[in-house]
Amino acid sequence: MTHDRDLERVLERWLTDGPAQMPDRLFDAVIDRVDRTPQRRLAGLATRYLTMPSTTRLTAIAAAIVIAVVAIGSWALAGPNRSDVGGRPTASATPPTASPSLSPSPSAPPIADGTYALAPMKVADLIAMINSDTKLSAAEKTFLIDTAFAMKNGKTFGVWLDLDRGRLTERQAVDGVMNVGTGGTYTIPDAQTLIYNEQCACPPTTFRLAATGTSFTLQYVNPPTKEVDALPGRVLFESGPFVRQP
Amino acid sequence: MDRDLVEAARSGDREAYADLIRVRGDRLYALAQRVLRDVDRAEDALQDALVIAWRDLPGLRDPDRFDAWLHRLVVRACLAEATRERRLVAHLRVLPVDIPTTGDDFMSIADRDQLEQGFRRLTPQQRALLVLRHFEGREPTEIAEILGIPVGTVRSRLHHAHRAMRAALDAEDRVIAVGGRPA
Repeated sequence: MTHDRDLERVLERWLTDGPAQMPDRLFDAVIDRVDRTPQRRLAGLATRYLTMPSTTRLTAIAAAIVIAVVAIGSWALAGPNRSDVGGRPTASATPPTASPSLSPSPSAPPIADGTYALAPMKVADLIAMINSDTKLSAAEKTFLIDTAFAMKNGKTFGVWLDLDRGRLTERQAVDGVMNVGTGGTYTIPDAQTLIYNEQCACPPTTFRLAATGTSFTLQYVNPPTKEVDALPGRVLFESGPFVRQP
Repeated sequence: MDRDLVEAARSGDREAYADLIRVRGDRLYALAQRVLRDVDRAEDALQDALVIAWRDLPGLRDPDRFDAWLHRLVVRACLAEATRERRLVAHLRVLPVDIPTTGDDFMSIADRDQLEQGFRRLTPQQRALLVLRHFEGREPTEIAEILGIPVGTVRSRLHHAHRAMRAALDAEDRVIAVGGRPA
C-alpha cells in the first residue's frame, strides 16, 4: 500500500475516521470536577526561570547548588549543639523557653508544620504599588490586579502558607474570598534554606530562610528577572514575617 | 469574543470556561482519541487536561494563546496517559464496529487494519506529531508552539515519524506475505 499511495494522503484520510464528538457524560464530568477545583491564581510562578537565557538559568542553578553545599557543610561543621538555628535572634524573637513545642531543636526542622500568615495588607496600597511600578506595562498591571491577585474592588488582601509534611500551599484571600495561589512541595536542607518545588514543569525556587520558632521570613536567592514575575514573589513571599496561626 | 471568555474564565468564571470547552470539546476529544487509539484512555486524558487547564488558567498571560496552550495540555495528558502501564484491554484487538467511516472505497478494511497496527507501533510522541500534522492540518510552526519545541525539531521528528510509519506498514506487509493476516 505504501508503495502505491502517498503516505501522507493516506494518513490524512485514515485519521479522519473515528469518533468526532465529545460524549455529554465527559463534558458533565469535567464541569463537575471544575466546580470542585479552585484555580491557582499564580500557577507557574516559578516558570520565570524558563524565560531566562539558558546561561543565566544555569548560573542560577549552579549558584543555588553552591549555596546549598556550603550551607550543608556549615550545618555539618557546626555540630548538633549549634546555637544559631533559625538565624540570628531578633528583638521580637520568641525566647527558647516560651514555647518548647515550637522551638527548633537540632533534630527538628526550623519551622514546624502548620499555617502561617502575613499581616493583612490593604488592597489600595497594593494597587497603588503596582500602578506606580514603572517596569510594568499597562497589560501587566491589569494582569496582576485582576488575575494574579484577583483583588479588583477588594479592600483587604491576606496571604497564608500551609506547610504540611513537605507540602506547601500558598493561599490568598481578598475580603475573605479564598484562592489558591501556588502549590507544591518543599524541603529545608538546612536551617537557612527553603527549596520550593512548585507543582509545574519548572525548576525549584530557593529561598533564604530565617526562622524564629513561631515565625519565619523568606528571601529569594535568585529573584525573578522580569518585574511581572518578581512583584508577586515580593508580595507573597518576601513581605514577611509569616506568623504561625493557632 | 473568545478573548472575553478566556479573560472571564481566567478570573474564575466557570460558566465562561464551560462555554470555552463546549466549543472546543469535540476537536480535542478527536485529537486525544487519535493519539491514544483508545476511547477510555482518551476520555481520561482529556478530562485531566481540561481540569488542569481550569486550575492553571490564571497563569496564562496572553488570552490569545489559549488554544495553543490548551492543545499543549491535551497532548501532554495524552503522552502521560500513553506512558502509564497499559491496561489489559489495550492488548485486545480493536474492532472498528463503532467507528464511523467516510463511506468511500478509498481504503479497504484490510488497509485500515494495517494502518492501525502500524500506527500503534509508533511512539506516543510520533503519533501526536502525525495527528497534529495530518488530522489537524497544523503547520510545523504551530506544532512547535503546541509542543514547546523548535520548528526544526518538529520537521526532523515528523520525518522520522513518517519513516517509522512506512517501516511499520512495510513490516505488516511482510507479515501478511509470509503468514497471511497479521495476528
